[in-house]
Amino acid sequence: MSQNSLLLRLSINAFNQLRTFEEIYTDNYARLHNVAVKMVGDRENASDIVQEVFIGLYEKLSGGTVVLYLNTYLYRATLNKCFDCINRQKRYSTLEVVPENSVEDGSLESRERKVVIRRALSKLKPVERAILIMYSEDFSYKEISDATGIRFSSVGKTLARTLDKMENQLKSQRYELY
Amino acid sequence: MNCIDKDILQRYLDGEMDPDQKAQVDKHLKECQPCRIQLELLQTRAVQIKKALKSLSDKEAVRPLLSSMVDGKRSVIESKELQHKNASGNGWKPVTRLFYGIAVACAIILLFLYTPWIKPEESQDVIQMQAVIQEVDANRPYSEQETVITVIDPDGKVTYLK
Repeated sequence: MSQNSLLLRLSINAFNQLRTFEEIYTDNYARLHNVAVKMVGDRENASDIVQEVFIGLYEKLSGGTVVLYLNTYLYRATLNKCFDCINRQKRYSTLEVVPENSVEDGSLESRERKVVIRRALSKLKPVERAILIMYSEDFSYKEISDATGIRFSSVGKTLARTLDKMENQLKSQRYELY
Repeated sequence: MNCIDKDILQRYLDGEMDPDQKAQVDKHLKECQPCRIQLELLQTRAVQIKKALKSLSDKEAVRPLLSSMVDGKRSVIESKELQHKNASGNGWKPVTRLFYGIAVACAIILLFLYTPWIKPEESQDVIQMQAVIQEVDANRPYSEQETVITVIDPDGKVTYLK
């Protein structure tokens, strides 16, 4: 895989716009990484997941496959890899999924709040977690439906229920929402 | 008029509603205070939960150089496969692993039970029938007395030993 092949211009989206792989990577990395971090709970696994997604995309594109709905592909692939990772974590770990190495900078209070939020998130089913995280990243119902595989007509109902669950989880840990 | 379901209000506040349905909800909200309060609560909740989740964003995420990622992808994939293999022992599912474990244990036990570790050595003894015919006269010296030993070997041959 030479550096030059990265600069091949690839026809990849529905509007037949031409974008380099590098542009796709630069534009989407941060957002995908954020989704993955919130899904799996730690930075290291999230980086691996996003890297695997881009490697997969690169192989697809360089193999001649045309990816029509690029965003859908990227988020769906990321979420699927996150689901696999969550399953592995469940299988091989009896500890609660709130990894210590995920602790960010900030005051003690803000760190504690983050731990509470992570714990509440980890109590949700992986799909519910995905919906909530994508909602918090301001994705539309259509995008949430495409990425998670939930029917478009059910997104509103599932989202309302998931918000209820999250609210209850946060309340049970004395997190002040209002 | 019946009050509006939570999920419809959720769609309303997210702007995910067709114009007709939105007009109906608008009309209802004008007339129904409980629904207005409910909508307000849902809105605050959505904003707060979004804010909470946004606070988890990893601001320090460093995007790896693309060239290093693609050039080194083979080794990355291989090492990850290795990691998964190591994590699961040998790549088998736990149930399969348990099944194979039990099968191997049973095989070893059976092998142990049925292996003739100590074979009884074949007997080298010759079975013989023998009888001692002796009439003892206590008043005569022993050297003057006659003892006849009859030996019958497995072939049926009879030997008299005097």
